Amino acid sequence: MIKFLPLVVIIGCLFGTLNAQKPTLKSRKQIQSSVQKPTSFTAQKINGQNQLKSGTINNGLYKNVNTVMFQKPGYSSDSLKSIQITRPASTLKSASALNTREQGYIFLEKVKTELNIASPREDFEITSANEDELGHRHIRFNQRYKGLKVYNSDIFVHLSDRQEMMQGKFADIRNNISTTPVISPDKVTDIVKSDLSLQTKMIDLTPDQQKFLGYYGPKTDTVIFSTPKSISKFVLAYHVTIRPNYLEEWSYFVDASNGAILKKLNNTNYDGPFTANAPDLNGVQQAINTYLESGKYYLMDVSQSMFSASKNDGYILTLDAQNSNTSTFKYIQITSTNNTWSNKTAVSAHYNAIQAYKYFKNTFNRNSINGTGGSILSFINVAEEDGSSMENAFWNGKMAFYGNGGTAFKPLAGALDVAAHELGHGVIGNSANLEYEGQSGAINEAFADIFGAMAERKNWYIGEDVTKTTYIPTGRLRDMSDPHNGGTSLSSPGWQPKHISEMYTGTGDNGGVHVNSGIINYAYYLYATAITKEKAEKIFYRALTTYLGRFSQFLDLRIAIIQSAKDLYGDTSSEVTKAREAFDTVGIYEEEPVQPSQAYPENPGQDYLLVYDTDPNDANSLYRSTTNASTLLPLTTVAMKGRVSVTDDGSFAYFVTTDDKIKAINLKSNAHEISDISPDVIWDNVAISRDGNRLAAITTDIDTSIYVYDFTLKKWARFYLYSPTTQENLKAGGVLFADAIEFDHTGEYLIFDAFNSLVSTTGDSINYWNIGLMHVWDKKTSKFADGEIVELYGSLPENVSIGNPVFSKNSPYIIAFDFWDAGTDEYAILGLNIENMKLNTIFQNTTFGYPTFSKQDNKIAFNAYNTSNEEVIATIGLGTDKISPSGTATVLINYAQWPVYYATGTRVLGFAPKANFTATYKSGKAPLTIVFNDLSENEPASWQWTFPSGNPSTSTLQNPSVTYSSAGTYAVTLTVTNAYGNNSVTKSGYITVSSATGVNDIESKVLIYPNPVSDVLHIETGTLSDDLTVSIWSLEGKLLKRENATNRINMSDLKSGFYLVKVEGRNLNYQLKVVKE
Amino acid sequence: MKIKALTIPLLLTIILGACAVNKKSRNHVIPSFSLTFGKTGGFTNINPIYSINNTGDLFKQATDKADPVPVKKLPSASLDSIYLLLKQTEFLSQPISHPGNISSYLELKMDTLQRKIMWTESAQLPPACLKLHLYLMETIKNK
Repeated sequence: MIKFLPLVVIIGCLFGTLNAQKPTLKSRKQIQSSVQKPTSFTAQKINGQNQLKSGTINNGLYKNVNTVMFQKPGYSSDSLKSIQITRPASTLKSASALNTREQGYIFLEKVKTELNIASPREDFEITSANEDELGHRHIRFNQRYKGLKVYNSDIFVHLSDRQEMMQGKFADIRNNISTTPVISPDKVTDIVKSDLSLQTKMIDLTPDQQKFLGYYGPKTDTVIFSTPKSISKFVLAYHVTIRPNYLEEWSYFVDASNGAILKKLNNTNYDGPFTANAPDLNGVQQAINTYLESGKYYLMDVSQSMFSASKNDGYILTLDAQNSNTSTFKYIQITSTNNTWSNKTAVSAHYNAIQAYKYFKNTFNRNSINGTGGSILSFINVAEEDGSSMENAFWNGKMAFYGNGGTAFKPLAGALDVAAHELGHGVIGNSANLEYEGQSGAINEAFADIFGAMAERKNWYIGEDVTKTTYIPTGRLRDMSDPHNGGTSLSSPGWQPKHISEMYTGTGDNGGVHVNSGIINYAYYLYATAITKEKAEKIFYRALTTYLGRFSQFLDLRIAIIQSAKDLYGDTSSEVTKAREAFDTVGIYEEEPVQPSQAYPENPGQDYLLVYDTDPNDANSLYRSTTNASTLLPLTTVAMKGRVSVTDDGSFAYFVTTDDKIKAINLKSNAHEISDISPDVIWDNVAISRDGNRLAAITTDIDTSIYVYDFTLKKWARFYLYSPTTQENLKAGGVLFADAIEFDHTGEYLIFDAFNSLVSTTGDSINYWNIGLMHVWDKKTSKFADGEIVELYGSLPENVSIGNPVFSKNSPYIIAFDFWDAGTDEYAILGLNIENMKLNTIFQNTTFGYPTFSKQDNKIAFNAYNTSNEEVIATIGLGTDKISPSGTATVLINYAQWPVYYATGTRVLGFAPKANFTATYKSGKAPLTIVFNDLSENEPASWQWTFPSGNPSTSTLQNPSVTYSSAGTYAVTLTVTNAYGNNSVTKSGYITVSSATGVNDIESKVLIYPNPVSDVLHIETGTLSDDLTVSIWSLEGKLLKRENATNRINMSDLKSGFYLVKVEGRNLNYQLKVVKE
Repeated sequence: MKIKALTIPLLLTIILGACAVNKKSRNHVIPSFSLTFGKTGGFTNINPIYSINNTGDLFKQATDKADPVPVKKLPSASLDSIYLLLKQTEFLSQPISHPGNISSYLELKMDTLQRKIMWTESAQLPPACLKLHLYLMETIKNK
């Protein structure tokens, strides 16, 4: 059963981990024209009174005075007056032994007659008392009248061993003041709000804002107040403190007898945005936006259109990590007292972040990095874990971090393309979210470089402002116009491939994400050069945000770019043609895509519905119903904690009992025997894989884990839950426990819901349920997988939870789940196609539904309430897309819950492969060596290639290398096979080989020997070329060695076998297969 | 389809013990191993690589193409702690692979065993692995 707990408000996406550090929300206010300037309080002279004698100490000499300053006799009305009473210090020995507070009252006792006060302890309340370094004691009093605070009074008593002095504002109240209000507090609040609405904008605070400010409505106190502009009268007044909106705070004083507003005061501080000019790391004076608060300037920009004061979001903030590292990270605000900035690194980082934001805004109309106006944070002075300077910059998923370089780089904050590259990763993460490994990772890196180069727009280089020539002679980290960047191979710093044939296929660098991005960079360079940067960046951005997905490969990118060009410029436009040419040039060819299979065959057996009885008078628990509920067969009386999980052939249903045990019921036997599965009394929920080979279970402990047992290995594996995406504005917390779990059709993945409990930096609890997919089993290796989790939704809207996910019976990409909005208390059952992320509402419910798909996926059954508020099981039809409703919902069974459809037949849960392939080259001069890359879907286990006129003419490798020596046009055939079937594809006219000019001359003049070779291979080319590049390739197309300006290459470190030797030079391109002994 | 094994072994539990070294129990020889760790990725992909072996030698490579340079020799107590923490992770048996723009990693080589875990956020690590990682970070600090 889902453990939904009361949810509290979820704070939206904020960089709130810094809330405690950055300027407080309370005081971040914009200057508005309606804001009144606060009036300064000036002391009023007493009428007819001689000037006050100074109470200050003159050259350390205490004047032994005993003076009292009061109004002249005869002035018998109440008055608020400045007062100073000075007396010699007390000579009582006991006086010094008393604490400061007590000494204060003793002094007041001495002067009470002069002050016309009856009882100092009742009429004065101490607000502070302290002793300074000279041993002088200072007590501050607030005056009271009949227990009420006298607002305008503020009395100080100063005691030393030389003298005792009283000073301040004393309310001499002679007349009796009624302390019973006539006007009610509610009425006063109305009066204040009415007046305030004429002064400023009234906007109700959100619950978040209320909590943050600790303000839940106007605060009203009764005080004794001296009416302004006339110190002759004290009245009973209401002191109202009110926040008309998020930014402002006002004080009102309202006469409690008649509601007259005696005084109003805007307490809002006078802070706000400013600009400054300051030098950056390149010595350029940059205009930057800063922010003043409480006398300090911060590197915070609130002037961009994304800024929202009410949401406390949309600012650009630069902070100093003080050479801390990611393991022990700390930071401080970068401040200035006078808005001048000498920290050039900070200026660079701040300026570049602003420029990068503007690039995305002005070019794509993108509302900040996350697309929803989220704040942008940059940290400078980030170091390595050992304290050394970091020669890097990175994006951690939410913020940008800059190191200060060292031997290879200058401070990384100094380059705009670095900043736009890092923030570009944020844009990518908030759109296609390309997986950071392999080809998708290379595309990710390429887009970041594209954004960097386009934001800077001065050339095609990456990092040229920060790269030292001692590290890379060209002085640029990467070169989009020539990815080789002056190098000859991967061993050269800064070298990248510019064609698929040079692609790195190793495992380092997450599969070469920083290496193979050169291929895409070069394609972009070619494209932008052909159609202009302005067009190219918009087409690429559209592809990223509209068509690319998490696991997109190079071919998918080509398809997405071409489609985007069609969208913007038309199907037959030159922009489309040039896109094809650019990708052809780098070896990413267009291939007819093959769609992965969408549906398994239906279970051929009889279908039923299992339901759990909720009738307390019925001893039976689990029933098997026909799908039309015409027959209900009781199966057992065992009490269960949640719904059952059934094998695909309908033979066994697994469940957890109310005493925390895992059991199973035999659904096919007439006796429906119950079997014990686990003797441990620790379980909360269980799921069985479709093939019955694995069990997933959750314990009753909050142990942040899902346990999986494999019946063949007879082993458990524990998988930890985590949230793959860090939420902003969070200080602590995370995923606590899972509840609903279900295996997918392959048995490799679990879909689950999990409870998240987070704590924001404002101390708010944020609790919600989310759905994830976890990789628990690897079929290829028959071992437990890495437990990697993909969340269904990276961040949910405020107050929203989703849970109880279930797969459709026949489609691997269709799921249904419960939706709950705690704010509106709305429930719904939603359908989702995971492949295209299309989401639909199937049914608006009144409770959690626990949906289940029927055998044909043409309806779902779910929990609901009928009009009598009784728990029922209802059904609703589904459309052909399986996520849209068809018809209306109807009640199927009363007094029941947790429905589970199942069927009793046997079927194969697997897809035959679908053959497809591409090649590194599709045309060229003979001899032409091509690597063919398999693109087949549904995981083939074996490959059979046919290459007429190729060498070899057949292959069983997945990605073979083939050489064509004769001119002609050739077809290629691939047949792929797995346990579920096979499939073939023949591409006619696929390879075109032309005769190389003088190929016989070349062949006769190029000598490569010895062959077979054991160590050094020699190359002689006669007069053809004397500037050779020699490279060694595996037959699978992997580059193993490359040397420049040489006529020999050492192969002694290579294993025995066949290799391809390529010799390139001026007008020379020659290949030969050699044998290494 | 028959129901599978009626009795299932008790759960594997992961020991979440303290990393304190009890000298009385440390009367053993640490087997040969090599532990490599650091970060990968970022704008430049230039990240130092650290390695520790069973003799307590700590090496550092400024980049993946640079030669390892000895940094210091760890005291035996420190090496013991590392080995104990490594054992508590069951020698990195948990498959953890979460590549990101910047990722941290631990790679263990021990006889024929070779395992690597990679993560982008500490929340992705089981407690035992996180303890080991934090201890290593302390170890490499320039003090």
